[in-house]
Amino acid sequence: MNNSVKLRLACRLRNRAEVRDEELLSKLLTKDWKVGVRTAELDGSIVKLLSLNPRRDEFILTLSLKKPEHLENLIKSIVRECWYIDIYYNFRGDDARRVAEALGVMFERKGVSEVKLSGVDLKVSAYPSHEALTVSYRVGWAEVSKGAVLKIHERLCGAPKSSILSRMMGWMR
Amino acid sequence: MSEEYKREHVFGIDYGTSDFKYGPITLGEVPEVVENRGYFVDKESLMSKLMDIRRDVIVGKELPLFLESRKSLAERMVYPMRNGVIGKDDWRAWRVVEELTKYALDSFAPGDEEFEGFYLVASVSMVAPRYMYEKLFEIFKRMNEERTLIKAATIIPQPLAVAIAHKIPTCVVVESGHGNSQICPISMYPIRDAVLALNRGGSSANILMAEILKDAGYGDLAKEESLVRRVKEELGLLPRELDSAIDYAKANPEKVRGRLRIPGTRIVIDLGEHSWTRFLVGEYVFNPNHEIFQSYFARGMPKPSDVKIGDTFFYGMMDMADAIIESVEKCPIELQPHLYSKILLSGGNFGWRVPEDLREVAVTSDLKLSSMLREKGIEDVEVRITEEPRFSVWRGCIVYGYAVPIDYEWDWNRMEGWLYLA
Repeated sequence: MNNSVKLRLACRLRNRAEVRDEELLSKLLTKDWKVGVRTAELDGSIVKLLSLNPRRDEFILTLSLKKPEHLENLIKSIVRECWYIDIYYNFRGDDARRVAEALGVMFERKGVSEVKLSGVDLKVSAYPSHEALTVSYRVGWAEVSKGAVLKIHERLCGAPKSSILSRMMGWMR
Repeated sequence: MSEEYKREHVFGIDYGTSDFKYGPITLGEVPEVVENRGYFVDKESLMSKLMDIRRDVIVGKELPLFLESRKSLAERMVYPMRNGVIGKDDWRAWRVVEELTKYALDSFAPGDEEFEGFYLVASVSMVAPRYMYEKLFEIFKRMNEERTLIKAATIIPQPLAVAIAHKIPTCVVVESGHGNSQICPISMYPIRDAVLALNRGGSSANILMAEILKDAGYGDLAKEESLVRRVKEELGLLPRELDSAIDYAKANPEKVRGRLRIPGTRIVIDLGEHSWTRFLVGEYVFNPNHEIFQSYFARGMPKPSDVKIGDTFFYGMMDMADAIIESVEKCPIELQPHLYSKILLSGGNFGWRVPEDLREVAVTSDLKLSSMLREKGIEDVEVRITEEPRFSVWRGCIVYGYAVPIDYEWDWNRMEGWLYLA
């Protein structure tokens, strides 16, 4: 798995955004995030506002994620203002095969499958001729508060590896 | 049909002059890429019959498997978008476009019953005439004959897609691909009267690279276009200032030496004492007027010529800074400073690499163009290379498809909106 994972989030707002596009992230994110013009950064993870729809009740973010907990942090901050958030992962090459295997999905056949994970329905689309796999799911506050986002992320991208030192010392805990 | 369905099924296609970039919104940040070309199989040949090859045109990743001799390559390989414009009656080029479009959509179309076709956003050159839009829509309609692949389609010019991807409503987009370069000032919409095109792109640099390879003793390899392109991408450099870069290269031959091994073959290219010519490759794209290029023209290398294609005049030898200035000066004076302060460079032709130890003499495209514009008296210039310039058009298509509401129907006067096909 790559050093940073790239995701796309489509967020459906409860009310239409009344701030300018440039102000949306600062309105939604917690103070840990350094907010710039349409982008925000937290310890190497970068979120970008890709677009708001013309009705201004939905927006799309792209996220380049360094640490899984940043995803949870981001989702928790945004979901309070949203009916739901759709989270999209796209995997290519060996990563696509590995994720398909982890989810028990046939990668060699093009098509859409549904998989349940942590109480959430995942939609898995396989494109074997391009060696690509897309996984998407929808979360609202209920799923977020149960910690589903982090659990699913770890299942898809693998739990962060502990350092060799912590693994050596693990027996002491 | 809901906005939510559309959001899941936006599909972007960038008909680039060299590469064809495509894929649905769910692919994230990086589209699939194949070469924008098709190979017409000799269906009368005994081997085609024996092998039961039923298609007349081969496109996509498996194309190399069907290639025959080098001679037939020239006759049978068609690059439809070479200069961004396809002749109305060039049936072979249109056939390739149709096949590529089908190849792209087919490979991502889900098989489930819920699928009612993609919302396709296609992007073509800024200089594409109206009949190209009409022809493309006809092709899109035909896509649905066997199975519904396209719910609705729209077409946008490539520079507008770049501006959309970067959410910059006022800017100059310089899109430089394989076949040509387009300079397009944008103030909410492209300012069509100010668009300027150069008959120079990555292919011009390839032609020069081929000459350099011949001079260095690799005349046999210089005939293989894809190899020449690879050598250009790996060894070509963009000089900060050409004369001093050449002096530097001659004083530091080992530092500048260009050597390249082609993986999977026994080929090793070593430019040796000709390594200083690495700087010519980048310079030629930005300014082919330096006297050093005269020796190549004198030996028969074709000079980029001024040509008229459709209604558009493509300049051959105008340097890139002059082209930007001429284009911007066709816009209202009040707008000009805003345009100079946001110049976006997009397209694979701006991806010049700068090796760490050559930072003194080699530069990236944005720095080169900034200094060229400053030399010509333009102050407060900000030139930016788009993030992954090869893909910015495709990304713009995706953002555009997401943003245009489903009930905003195609209007031939405004040239925007969705044309429903299913």
